[in-house]
Order: sequence, then structure tokens, then C-alpha cells
Amino acid sequence: MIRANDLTYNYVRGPSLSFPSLKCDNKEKLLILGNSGCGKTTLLHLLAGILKPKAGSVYVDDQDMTSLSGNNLDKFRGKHIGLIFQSSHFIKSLTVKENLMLAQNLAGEQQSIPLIKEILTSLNIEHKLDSKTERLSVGEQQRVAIARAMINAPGVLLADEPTSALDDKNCESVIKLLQEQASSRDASLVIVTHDARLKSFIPNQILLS
Amino acid sequence: MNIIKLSWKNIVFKPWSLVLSMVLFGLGIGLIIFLFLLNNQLQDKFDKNLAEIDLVVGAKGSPLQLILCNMYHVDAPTGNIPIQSIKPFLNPNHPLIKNVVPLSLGDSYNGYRIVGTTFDFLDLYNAELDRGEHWYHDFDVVIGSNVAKTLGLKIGDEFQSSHGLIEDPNLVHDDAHGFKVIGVLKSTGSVIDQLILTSPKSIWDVHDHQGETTDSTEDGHEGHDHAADDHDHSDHQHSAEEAFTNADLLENSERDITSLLIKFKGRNYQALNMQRSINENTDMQAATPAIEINRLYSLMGVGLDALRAIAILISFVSGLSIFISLYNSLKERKYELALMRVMGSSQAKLFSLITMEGVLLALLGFIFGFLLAHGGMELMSEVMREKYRYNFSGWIFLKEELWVFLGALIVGLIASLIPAWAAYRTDIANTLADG
Repeated sequence: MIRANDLTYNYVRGPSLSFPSLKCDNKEKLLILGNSGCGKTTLLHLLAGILKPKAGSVYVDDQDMTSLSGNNLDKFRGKHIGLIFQSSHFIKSLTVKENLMLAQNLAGEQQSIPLIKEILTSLNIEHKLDSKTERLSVGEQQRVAIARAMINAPGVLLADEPTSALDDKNCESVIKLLQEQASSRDASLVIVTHDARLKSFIPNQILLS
Repeated sequence: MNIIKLSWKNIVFKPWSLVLSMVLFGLGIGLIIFLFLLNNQLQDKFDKNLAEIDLVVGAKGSPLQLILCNMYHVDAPTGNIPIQSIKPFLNPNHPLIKNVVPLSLGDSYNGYRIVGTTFDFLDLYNAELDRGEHWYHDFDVVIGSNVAKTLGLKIGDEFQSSHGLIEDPNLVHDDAHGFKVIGVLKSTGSVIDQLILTSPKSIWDVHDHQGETTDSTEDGHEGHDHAADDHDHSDHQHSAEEAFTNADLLENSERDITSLLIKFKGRNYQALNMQRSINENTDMQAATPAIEINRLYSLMGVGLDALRAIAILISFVSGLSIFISLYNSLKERKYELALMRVMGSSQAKLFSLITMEGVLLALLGFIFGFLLAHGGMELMSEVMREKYRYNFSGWIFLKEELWVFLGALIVGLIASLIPAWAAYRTDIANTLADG
């Protein structure tokens, strides 16, 4: 579950942004829509604890993230929040398996090859276990990014423009995968995007202006 | 997957960059270790062969040459000295002299020097027979362990000596009496391992037989006009009780030898004054081995210090290459670092990741340099052995190398500090927003 109350953020040399309060329970999906420059990514970073709000609070699984800092915040984020970005970036020197193992290690979780295989199988890319991420197709990279976000069974899955660069077919495929993964692990799914195609998939929506 | 494994994966991910950093750093480290090995082994050779000799008396010339020739056997003699002139030193009741060992040089076999001397020479190096017996008879030789090993000589083998220390068929004493190996010494690790020992009389007889009439050879030998076959070798046979001694030298006072190695009874004023007295009042020169070797060290030291300074400079410049390599990679990897933060990595972990990469690069550079230095020393030992007949080895390891190892790691650590600090301060939000 994720809940944000009256968040505001001040850029160092920019405008002050206020965001509507929001709540997304376990297994629920929330779509945050808005045009470019309206602060979608800033809101996502606030929800993930990457940015510190000027005011307001963010609760993840009943933990007020704004009260955490330093190592505690890093650890909490690694364990309770899965993040997916528009471009799938990985540690290039590592294979798919090693990238997922690193995600487990950094979150302080036990490294488990069976769990990695299980999640890759659920995403139909188990055969790419030992591949270098650079050698994967864009679609495969997107699936590995989802696997990495879900590997520690986070309570919240945050996705930043996950479908913007995809055609309609791949867009549908990715959004369905995200929903399946979040539902199967009882996680809340929050997507921030300007991609209007997603409106039909997630009825629970907030429009940023 | 942990930080150490990730560091390793990151540095081997770009193999050419890794090789460049490793080779650059390894060259500096290798040069430093090589200089340590060379210096240490040279000093060891010099020190071992000092043999507690206080004074070397020989013909006038360079005192360093006198020492290098008569103690280290790597240079030509300065000339010969008449036994008539050294009679006082051969007095067994000399108040200052404990021990005096004569040397007759000038000939060699396959580049190994033949030394005409008495059995006292063995005591200087604590040398013992491994097999066979001592050179009681004329033209009998006892060979050092390396001579036996390298030339494959065994007891009963015979050979013709050559003039000088160079292997040249034209210089072989073809018409002279051959030498016969009758003993082999145990290895001592000193210069005696490289020598062929016989009596001074055998050396004189070879040159008598050779029939040379020159007054002075290149090596300072004086020849004598004798026919090759007018000599009855049965006349030379000695019994065990008749081994050549200093007393025999006195009986041949018309002859020459190359030098005298002298040990004093004590280091009193009179003993110390003997050198000056010989140099000022005779046609001979006396030199103190310790002083000459210290002079040689200081001459060599300037060169070695300069080389060491260059090596340290190379290492620091190479450390700079580690810094540049890490710093450049940071630009490419800033999104990766931000991702690691998102996945739960602390800032300190990113800092340790980059420093670990720097230290690993330095470690690999050290290993490369270490192998380069020891391999180079082993390769060079062959050349040194051929040129100087001294054994050098790449299989000697020094405690100084531990300090070089620690130094290398510190350079790697220092080189990685700035990139590590940049990684520590990675702005996750901006980096992710840019990605």
C-alpha cells in the first residue's frame, strides 16, 4: 500500500509544485497522467523517496518514508519499492541473473537462484538467464527490468513512462505483465505517464495539471 | 553477487582499458622490484666475497680494478708483483698479519678463471671438498661447484687452459701441459664456486711451456722462454705432505704472482698504516676491499637511485592512469550507480565499489610487475652468468617487495578516491530524470 498526503516540492532554482493526495492499496492499480513538464517524474521520485518533499508525507506499508534518511531510506526503498523506468538500464558488466542477484543483495535479501528462475519463467525469459543485458531486445530488456523491480517482492511497484517508447502491441503486453506481476505478489501498482493508451487498462486515474 | 565480485566484473568488462592500466602500472612496479632484486643480489655477492680480507696487495693501477680482479674475479689483473717484493708479508711470524694468501691469475678455461693459490684460499670462503682431493700435484685442479655443473667437468677430465678470461681458441695454450680435474668443491654461494684452483707453480709452468717471451702480457703476465717438451712432469709430483705453501713461494723468489690477500691479526694503527706505507714506499699498491666496495656502491647507488626515482615516477603516473580510467568510466556508469542507489545501495557502498576497483586494478598491476621483475631477473641471470660468471636468480623474494605491494595498493586507493567521492555524491533524481 502507498499513500501520499499533500506533497509539495521546491526546485532549487525552479517552481514549487503541489501534488494531490493519493492512495493505492495492495493489488490496486493507479494511473497518474499528465503532460510533459507537469511534474510526473518528480512525483514518482517523491513517492520512491528519491526526492525529499518540502511538505507532506509518503507512507509505504504504513512506514512514513519522509521520516527515513540515509542508509535506512536506501534499504527501505530497496526492499519495499520496485522501480521501472522508460529506458531499461542495467549494470552492463553483469548478466541477467547477476543483475537480479545484485538487486537482492543491495536490498539485503538472500540471493536465490530458484526465485530468479521462477520470476524469469513467469515473464517468459528464463532462457536469457546468463545473457548479458546488452544483447537482449528492447522487449526482453523491459521484462528483465520488471523482474528486477519485482525480485524482492516489494509492496509497491512504481513505473515511470513504461510504455512511451513502445508500439501498441508491446504497450499492451507490458502493461498486462506489470498488472499480472503486481497482482500475483499483492503489490500496489502506480504508473506515471503521458501515454493516453493506458487509460483503457487502468480505470483508477489521477490527472496532473 | 557482492561488491568485490561486482568490482571485478566491472574492471574486466573493458579488457583493453584493464590491460592498459595494468601494463602501465606494472611497468613502474616491475622496475622498482627489479632494482631491489638487482641491488640486493649485487650487494649479497659483494658482501659474501669480502671473506674478511683486510688488504689486497698487487701491481700499481686502479685500486677498484685490483679488488674486482682479485676478490670478485670480474676484471683483468693490474699486473704482476715479484715475490722478492712481498717476502716480508710471507713471514709466518709477521707481527700484524694473521693470514696471507697468494694468487696467480691470468688463465682460464671456457671463461672460468684458473687461480694459482694455496689451500689457505679455501679457508677464506669456508669451502670444502665435495668429492676427490686437493691439488697436491702440479696441473691438478679442484673446481668450484658451478664450474662442474656448467661445464659438466668431472674428476679425471683434462683440459687446456686459455690466456686471459675470454673464450678465444687463439688464446689456448695448445703446447702447454693440460690440467686434470681431481676434486670438486661443495657449493658455497661465493665466488669460489666459479673458480678453478691449482697451485701457483702450475700457472708458472703453463707459461713456461708456452714459451712466451714477452715482457708483459695484456694481463700483466711475464713469459719465460722454455721448450714445451723439456719438462719432466714426474719432477713436479708432490706428496700430500708437499702441498704448495707460502714457503714454496719464498723458494721461487725470482717468480711473480698477481696479488696477495691479507688478513690482519687486529685492526690497530700499524695494520691500518700498512696500506699507506705500501702505496707510498713500494712499486706495489694495496687496497682495502671494504673501502673500494663502498666506493663502488656509492657510484652504483647514484644510478640506482635515479632509476628508482624514475620507477616511482612511472608508478605515480600509472596511478594517474587508474584515476583517469575510473573517472571516465564513471561518466558512462552514472546511471548504473543511480540504479544501485534505487535498488537499496548506500552512498558508502558506491564509494567502496569504486575504491575496490582502484585497488583491484593496482593489485593486478602489481602482479604483472612482480612477474615482469622476477621473470626479467631470471632471464638476465643467464646473461650475467655468461658475462660475469656470477649466479643471479629470479627466484629470490625480498621483504621490500611487501612494501612495494602495500605501496601499490595505496596508490590504487588514492587514485580511486576522487572518482569514489563523485560516485558517493551521485544525484539519483537528476541522473534518472536524464536517463
